[in-house]
Amino acid sequence: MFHSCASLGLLVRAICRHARGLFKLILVIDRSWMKAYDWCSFQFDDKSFPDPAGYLRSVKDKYNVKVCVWINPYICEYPNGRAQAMIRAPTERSLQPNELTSSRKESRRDTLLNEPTVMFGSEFETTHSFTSYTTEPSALQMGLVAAWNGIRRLYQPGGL
Amino acid sequence: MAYVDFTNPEACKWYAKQLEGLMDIGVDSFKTDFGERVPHLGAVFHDGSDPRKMHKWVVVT
Repeated sequence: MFHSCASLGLLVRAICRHARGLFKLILVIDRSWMKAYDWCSFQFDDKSFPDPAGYLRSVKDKYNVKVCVWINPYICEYPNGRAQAMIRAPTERSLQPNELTSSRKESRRDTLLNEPTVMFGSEFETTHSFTSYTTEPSALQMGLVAAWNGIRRLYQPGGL
Repeated sequence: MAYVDFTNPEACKWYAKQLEGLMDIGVDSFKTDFGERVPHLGAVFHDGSDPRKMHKWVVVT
């Protein structure tokens, strides 16, 4: 569609010029804002974000952005107290680890979790350990990556 | 692996509370991951829904 990077750059600049005032920039803080394995704690990692409320306030004031954070419906392998409370609370029924997977990452996890390890409502137990999928980025790195993601999403056809 | 059972009102309440906590400290919106599918083998939903038919419903949630 584009004959060169230069023409793409020109288009992007033109869009930026015309989009100013039409769109709100959104800072997307993608995965890893929670502690490693805390996929359901909904608490910022205090190593990277010692003061999450202050951080969010400061990026909003400084860059005039809205903030979006990544979430997912997984129950993590190593839940903290909050997640455990949720797992115990709702129901007596159980969920078994999945055996059919669509992604390599899940396949690997399911290979390791070769027996039922997660019970909703009665207990949470995991007997396997495995290495982290990602290294933990600094808040600055995460901010940059998230800002890039936000900009990329903004100019996707039909995005935002 | 396991995921939040949104057919359980208690789980919905818990999940909403977590998101409200984030909104209270300044988060404006959420990017919901894992919209591809719902693991169904061995899954049992709170309301007895057929896990094979829950794909689109859970993704929308």
